[in-house]
Amino acid sequence: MPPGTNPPARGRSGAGRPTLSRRRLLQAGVGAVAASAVRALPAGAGPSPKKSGPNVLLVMTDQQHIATIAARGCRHAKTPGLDGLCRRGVTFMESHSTYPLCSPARSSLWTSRMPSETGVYRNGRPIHDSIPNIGQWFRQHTDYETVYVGKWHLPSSFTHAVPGFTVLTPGVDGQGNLGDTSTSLACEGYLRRRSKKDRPFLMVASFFQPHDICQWLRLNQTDPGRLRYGELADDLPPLPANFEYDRNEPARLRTQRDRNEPGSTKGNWSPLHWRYYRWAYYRHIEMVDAEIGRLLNALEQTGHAAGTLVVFTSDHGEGLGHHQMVRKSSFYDAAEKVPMIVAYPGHVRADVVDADHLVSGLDVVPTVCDYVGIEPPAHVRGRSLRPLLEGRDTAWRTYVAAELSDARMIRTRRYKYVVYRGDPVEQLFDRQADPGETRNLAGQATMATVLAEHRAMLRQWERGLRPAPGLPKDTQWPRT
Amino acid sequence: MVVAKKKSDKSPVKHPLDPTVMTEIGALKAHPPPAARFDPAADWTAHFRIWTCYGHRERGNRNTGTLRIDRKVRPDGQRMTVQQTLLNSQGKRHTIRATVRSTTDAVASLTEWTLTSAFSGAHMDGLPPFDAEAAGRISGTTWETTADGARHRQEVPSPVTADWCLFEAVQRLPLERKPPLRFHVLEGLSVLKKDHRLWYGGKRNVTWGPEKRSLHQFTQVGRGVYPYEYWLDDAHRLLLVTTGPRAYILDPQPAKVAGAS
Repeated sequence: MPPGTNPPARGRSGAGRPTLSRRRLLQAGVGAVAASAVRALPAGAGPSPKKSGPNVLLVMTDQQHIATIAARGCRHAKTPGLDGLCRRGVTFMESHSTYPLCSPARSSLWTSRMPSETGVYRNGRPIHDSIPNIGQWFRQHTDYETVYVGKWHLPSSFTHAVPGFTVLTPGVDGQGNLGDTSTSLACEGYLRRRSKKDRPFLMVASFFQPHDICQWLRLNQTDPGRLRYGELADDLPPLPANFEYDRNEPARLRTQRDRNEPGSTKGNWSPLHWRYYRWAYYRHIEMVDAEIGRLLNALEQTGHAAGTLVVFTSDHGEGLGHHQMVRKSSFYDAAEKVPMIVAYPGHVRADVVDADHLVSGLDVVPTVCDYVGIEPPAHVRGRSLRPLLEGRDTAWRTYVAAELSDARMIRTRRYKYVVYRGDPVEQLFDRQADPGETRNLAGQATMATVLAEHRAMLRQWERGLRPAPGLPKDTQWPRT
Repeated sequence: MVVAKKKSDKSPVKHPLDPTVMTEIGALKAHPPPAARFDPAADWTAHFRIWTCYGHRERGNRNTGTLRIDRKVRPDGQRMTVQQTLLNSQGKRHTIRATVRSTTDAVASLTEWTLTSAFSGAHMDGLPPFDAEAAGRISGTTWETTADGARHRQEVPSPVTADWCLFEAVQRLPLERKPPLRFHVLEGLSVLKKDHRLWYGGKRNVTWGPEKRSLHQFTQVGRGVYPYEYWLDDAHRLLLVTTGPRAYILDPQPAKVAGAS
């Protein structure tokens, strides 16, 4: 048996007493909990030999800006939990959401399909019945316990009905500041109560923070004209270098900016209030980092760390004042890039930063399947990160794509191309010369060839997709 | 044809929570607890309802749980028992119980504690066990925890208190402006959050339900938390804690939150 793998399940507990095994408990749970939730798996996905490999822990946050980890250069938050994970694995700095909005991005994370394929083209939609999520896939092809804790949002946010998983607790509805503690303590309890003879686990710990920044925005919409706590004056982060924005950007971005909190009250926020908002966001990051730290400590203290593949990511980022934006739903880096860290001691390179390879939420399912030793579901759009994680040479993708219901993005190593439905203003940024995305090159004659190439890449990508049946036509506009 | 724009059924609160804002949005309807004799240095029991706000005035705001703290003075400091119940979604309850020994210094520095985490209520059938328990102590700068029979040690800065201990400590502080207290917080007796400051901010005129009141306010800021605002009456009794989108409201008639008793 290779290092880090778990022995097969046995129907006895520690002292050899015959007991109701965890497997039976979980099977009972499937019936009790998920009778209404488990849908028919896709045709052709018949029984196959059950596989056992490393434990898998998928940790996700909600709305985490990529540059929020102290070990990877963030100066405004202390993140000992994620710092420790960085030291144990590979951190991808070119990690992109498939759709910078909660439900659609989550549908990609758990299926490796684009949101236009899963049918989750806006929040609160279920994944189409024909596409298995990773829990369903594991239940069909492995011997794993599949356990889910925290926010789901496909379609319900906080629910016990997560197909393919046994849900320990969904957390507190809409309140990450309280519910994430329930989530991490449930995960900790699960890990501490496991027997070494139990089957391997696939556990999802889905934290809701730092999404509570949305509540913060609604509760701090009015700029008081002074710093609420003068004692914080020396603690506030500066405005981002790309705080200013292009006045000729696509109309939808201008509308979005105007409708969000900073611009929707009497005049725009003062720079001081913007900085206070940034300070508050970093506190949200520290809140969720503490819960992640608790979980990772429990993994370590229970002896599971060496045999567990850990993947950490987020569904989308946060505006954080870049381009004077808050929240998500844009293709600026702040909203569409997400953290991605993978650790598996002895198997994955430790304390490595990969700033070269373009990776995506689509890559989670293929990576996990690769390490567990099963084929991924049909038509996955992502790739296994394993060669990158292990430092092996491989031909890698030249671009990643992302969607919004009214927009598309192509990101190559050098450029980012964005187009909005019906808007004549396209965006093209040279990410090497202009990492802040402040100079739109799309209208420059010298960039015509580059622009054409990126348009062609988008068309190529779109042609390869299998749109979910019943998608509203206006979400499929670029497809020709 | 002019189509009237549909009026939104939700509007942002726009201002951080305080008694006046909470009164406006219906979180504080009754009179505040009446003035009463209260000795913060003696034994006491306090019940709070945990109320959360989704940021809109009209919806998404609710009682999310309860917190009960019993404080007893001991020759070597004080002992608190804590029970916090959070209403998880779809009828599941999460109850944390703790016993805490601490000093009676300005921040109620931690010395020793036990902690259990248990889930109950709906959707429990067939689940694997996932309750947890732990014990811990701080001696000098050494933080030691015991879980599953295994001990773990790490160095911590000093002084370290807990969020629940601050509910007690703030009631013993003088109601006057002084340099901020500086400390570290072991939140929930389990996750360390460093570099906190607490200061007296003065007396504020607020609206609480049908009454106008003048309450004393302390503020706490630090790593990994929303700013906390503690609201006390003239007897030093803690009536309300507001922190980001949640509040702890002193509840003279406890256990009214469905499922959270």
